Amino acid sequence: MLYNFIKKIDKKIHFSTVSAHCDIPCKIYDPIIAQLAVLTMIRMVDLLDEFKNKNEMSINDHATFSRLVAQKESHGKQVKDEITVIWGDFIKTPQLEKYPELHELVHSIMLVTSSVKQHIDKNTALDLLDKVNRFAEIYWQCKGVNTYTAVCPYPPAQPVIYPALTQ
Amino acid sequence: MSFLGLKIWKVTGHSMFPRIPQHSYILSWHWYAINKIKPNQTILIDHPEYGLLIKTVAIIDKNHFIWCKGENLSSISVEKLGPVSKKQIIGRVLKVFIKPHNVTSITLHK
Repeated sequence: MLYNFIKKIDKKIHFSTVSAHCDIPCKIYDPIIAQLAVLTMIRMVDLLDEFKNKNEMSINDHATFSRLVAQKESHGKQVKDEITVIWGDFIKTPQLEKYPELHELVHSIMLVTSSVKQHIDKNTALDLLDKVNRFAEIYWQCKGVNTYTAVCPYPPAQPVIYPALTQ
Repeated sequence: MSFLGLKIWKVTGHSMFPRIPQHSYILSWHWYAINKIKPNQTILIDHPEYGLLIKTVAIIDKNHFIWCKGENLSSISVEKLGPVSKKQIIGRVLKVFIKPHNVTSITLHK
């Protein structure tokens, strides 16, 4: 109960964070999880948009609608989780000095993700993908890995930043 | 935001698991850190390379430098973390608040 109370306060005033930094598992970071989550959100928006053309909703339609909204919600949470973990655990002073836009970018990702969760708006979802792609681009640049942009070979067929890994 | 040296922090990372899981909240007291630091105390340190860390005191050497450790194998090693001076300690952990499905809270007596 006390934890939940503190958590509610945290949501209002945002306590400072302290890192229980670890070496072995925490070096495994990859923004692709966040990128896939955004693509899922866009796909869910596309599928939800199809309901606009329906005059009547059957029970099955209602069930499908609910499932799509739930997926959009959960993947929005995943976007936030993945981005904040990389931002909080991987990004440090050298990266911030090189990419001073990072704090603003991460904050705007949080805000736009909330907006995509709240609405069924393709443009906002695409805006989120742009921001998360930019975050991924910066991440790979920090790792010294070149990137390229390609349209993902599955719906929603949007441009995604990929690392140009070599053998 | 602190009050009389007391401050609540949110923990990120897994090196203090299982005692302090990720996303736990902790209550630290800055003035408490002025007292003698002893092994097994949980402290907050301002590390020159890793930033603000929560760690457990492993040993205090004869030069009064403090060597810290995590609570599991995934933590940065004591050697890699290196020694810190008392000036780098920004507080001692008084209480840990863990997610309800684990434990409500843990009081640190060490």
